[in-house]
Amino acid sequence: MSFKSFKKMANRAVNIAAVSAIAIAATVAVPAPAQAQGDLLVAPTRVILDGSRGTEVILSNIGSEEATYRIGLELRRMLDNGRLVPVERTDANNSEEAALGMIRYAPRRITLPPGQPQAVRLAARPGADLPDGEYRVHMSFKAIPRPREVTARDAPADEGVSIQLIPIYGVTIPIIVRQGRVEAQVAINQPRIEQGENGPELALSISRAGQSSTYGVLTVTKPGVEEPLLLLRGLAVYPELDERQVRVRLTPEQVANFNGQVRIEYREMPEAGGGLIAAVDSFVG
Amino acid sequence: MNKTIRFGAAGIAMFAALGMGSVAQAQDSATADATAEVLSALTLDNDGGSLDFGTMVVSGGGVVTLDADGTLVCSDPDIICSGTTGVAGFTVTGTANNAVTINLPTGSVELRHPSFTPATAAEHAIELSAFTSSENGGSGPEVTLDGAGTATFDVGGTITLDGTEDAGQFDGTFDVSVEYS
Repeated sequence: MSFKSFKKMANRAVNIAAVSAIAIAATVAVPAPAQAQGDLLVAPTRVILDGSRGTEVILSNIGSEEATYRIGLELRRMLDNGRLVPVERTDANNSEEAALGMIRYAPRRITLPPGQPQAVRLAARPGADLPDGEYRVHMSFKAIPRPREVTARDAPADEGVSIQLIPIYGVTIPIIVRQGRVEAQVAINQPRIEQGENGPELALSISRAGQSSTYGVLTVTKPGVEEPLLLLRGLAVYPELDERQVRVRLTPEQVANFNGQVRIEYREMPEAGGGLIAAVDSFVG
Repeated sequence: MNKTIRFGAAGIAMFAALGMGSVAQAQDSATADATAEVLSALTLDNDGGSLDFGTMVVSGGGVVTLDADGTLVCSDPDIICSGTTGVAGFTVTGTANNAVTINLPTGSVELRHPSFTPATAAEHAIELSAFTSSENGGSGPEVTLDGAGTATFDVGGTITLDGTEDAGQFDGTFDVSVEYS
């Protein structure tokens, strides 16, 4: 087991976690027409604010009809199994209340024709006496369903009961504010292969201490094998957790490759520098 | 990379260009690389429409379940199910090999008849509960995007009928949230 610490500087210039520079090909593929109203694209998929500089999140209507979207701030907490569960504002703790209070954003409601993107501007205004730490809210983008058109189907059917259930669907992305100097110490523990409900799984736990969350890629490699045996991106461990469980379903071929010693690495996303967060060499098979 | 992402990337590149006036424009040579800042994007499409239980003729109480895989379980003798049913299908695209949480309603959702009033709730309201997802992690709805950055999931549910419902169409909405961490 290795134990490594890494630091995040408050004045780091990178505002958006998932940024990469690539050349765009001249051809633009047009997505297949979607039937539903309210389909959406959001980029980037997480935002880190440090200092007072703001940033933008792009919302685009990728549906085939005009749609109105509501943008809101919500609270989520991560369970030790990695699930993000909603938290009511009335149940917010001090840190969550502070986070809600310091994020400014506009607009809060956008009507977009198909194919049209718009930027949502956001910035953090932390109070002068805010304790150092990491503060987080989740920004939700959700289509507001249009008032339903009255159709022939509404006429009472002969004797039947019919049901129409419209999904109101959207996405949330984390908005993270880092105040002052925050850091985290992370270690990977107990990698093992277990029989899960749907077949074999790689199970391990990530322990975390300190005020910062971690976010990155988990890879499992084997000496002499070029391709990683396993790759899991976007793995986050938030400060509300001291320990997070990770379970990844494996194919029989992957299981067969897990004999012998493997190296498990948890690195920052390549766009964020790819720095090593934690690593362990272990026999898992 | 799939089509939707490339499309999204193009939209973002346009914005990036608008906001970055200081990008080096002065180049003497005739060949210039077209580069732009591209953000990783995520999309959510509803491709299966709404959750549709078809038509039911109700002569007594019972339960009808529409599994997330599309299987209709309508075995109570007092309920006759007919018509087309469908689950609500969604497609998520984003970063390959990324696991995302799906949040569905944990409580029940009330479906209402057009002539619903609080006094006639028994005849004009139906409870829908037990939302289920076709994709589940070890501990609840979760989907892991494949190597191309795409994943799909379907949503089903269970309705409870008390046998007094009036004929007609019952409407309701439910929330589906895809949570990136």
